[in-house]
Amino acid sequence: MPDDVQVKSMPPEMSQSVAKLRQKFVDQLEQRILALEASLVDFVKSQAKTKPANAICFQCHNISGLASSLGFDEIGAAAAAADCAWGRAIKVNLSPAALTPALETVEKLLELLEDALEP
Amino acid sequence: MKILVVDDEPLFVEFIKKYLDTLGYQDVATAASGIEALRIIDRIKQPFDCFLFDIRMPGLDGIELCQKVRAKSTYAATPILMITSMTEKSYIDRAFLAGANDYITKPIDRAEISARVGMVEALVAERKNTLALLQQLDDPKSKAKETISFEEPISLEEIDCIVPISSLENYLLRLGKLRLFSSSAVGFHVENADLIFAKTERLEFVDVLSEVAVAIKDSLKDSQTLLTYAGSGDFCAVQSRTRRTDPDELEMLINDTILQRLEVVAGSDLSVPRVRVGTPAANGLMSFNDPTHIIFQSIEDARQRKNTKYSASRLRTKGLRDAG
Repeated sequence: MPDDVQVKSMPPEMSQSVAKLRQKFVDQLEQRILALEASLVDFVKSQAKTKPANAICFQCHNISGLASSLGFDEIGAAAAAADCAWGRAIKVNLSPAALTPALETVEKLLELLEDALEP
Repeated sequence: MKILVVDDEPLFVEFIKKYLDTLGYQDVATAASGIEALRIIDRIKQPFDCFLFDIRMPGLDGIELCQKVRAKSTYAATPILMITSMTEKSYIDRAFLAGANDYITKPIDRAEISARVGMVEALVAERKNTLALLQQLDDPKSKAKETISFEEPISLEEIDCIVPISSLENYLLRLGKLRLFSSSAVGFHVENADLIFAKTERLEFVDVLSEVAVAIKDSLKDSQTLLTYAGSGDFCAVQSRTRRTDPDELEMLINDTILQRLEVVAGSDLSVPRVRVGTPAANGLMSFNDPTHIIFQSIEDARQRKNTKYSASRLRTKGLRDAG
């Protein structure tokens, strides 16, 4: 599991709790990856794209806050970047110029989440 | 202290609960959405002492939830901390305008949550004192035992955009250098506040302060302004530095508004409050001053200013009109 520094610097009772939460985060990664991929498929297929775009944005936002608080800094940063990129894209009605970087950020996030699954 | 944490990410809620537990806060309830939070709040017998709301949630977001909670009389002054990774100023401003007292940014760290929740405990104690005071004010028998002091920064909760001074201090402390640079503080001093305090019942004094607050708020014509009452007849408004505020013009406008609002109170022998407006105070970009010093600097400037000629003559003509 990457990024253990933050856990080690906490008081012991909190370290143990966070270590368990980190494991839960890793255990749930597959679900998050599948949910994000499903939202992307939904986005591609739907005529009305705002709702699936918002769903992607929320998922990235949640991963960002949780991952960085649990010490998965790289995942947290990638999710924050994806959250921002999708937020910007939604504000400009999902224009192609904004959408391309938004899709790239989610791809990068998915790669990192898949890497984190590996033992 | 009884706390309600609201966040749509279950693992994050578990994380916050664990942190709060290690800090000694075991009485923590949770909700996964704004709607669920409102259901819990309406059902509970013993009110919550503190709320932690995530800003970004589907459906009812944290800011809307904050507004709805503030609208409930039981929770008009209960400390609300927003949890957010949203560092854009507009989210922070909206949160404070909705009634939030402070915010915690993700990623959460133990020192920050300890500091913020520790501050909340102090606010809870202050709030219990205020509630006890309000109960005394409502009880006619206890009017002789009034404990409100002239210097007390009374919380005028029912006025939109008024925040407790501790919240305004938090807001400025958390802004960061660049955002602080783009903000300015304007001080307002009610020069006859001590006379009004001496001549009125305490509830009347609070009513007078509320009228002044509304006059200031209406005259500033900026819904994003945060206004606070600092005690001793002093108010302070924090707004964008780009807003050009001419103290003389603003002073005339506020005092005229007060005259119009209080003239309709027939048969009242309330002294009309007279407000002095200071020059806006701001922090330099390279300043190492405590950010909150602009509050006190702006108030001090308002205290030092003399009434403008226009407002002084308007008050004289009011005297003539009153004499018939």
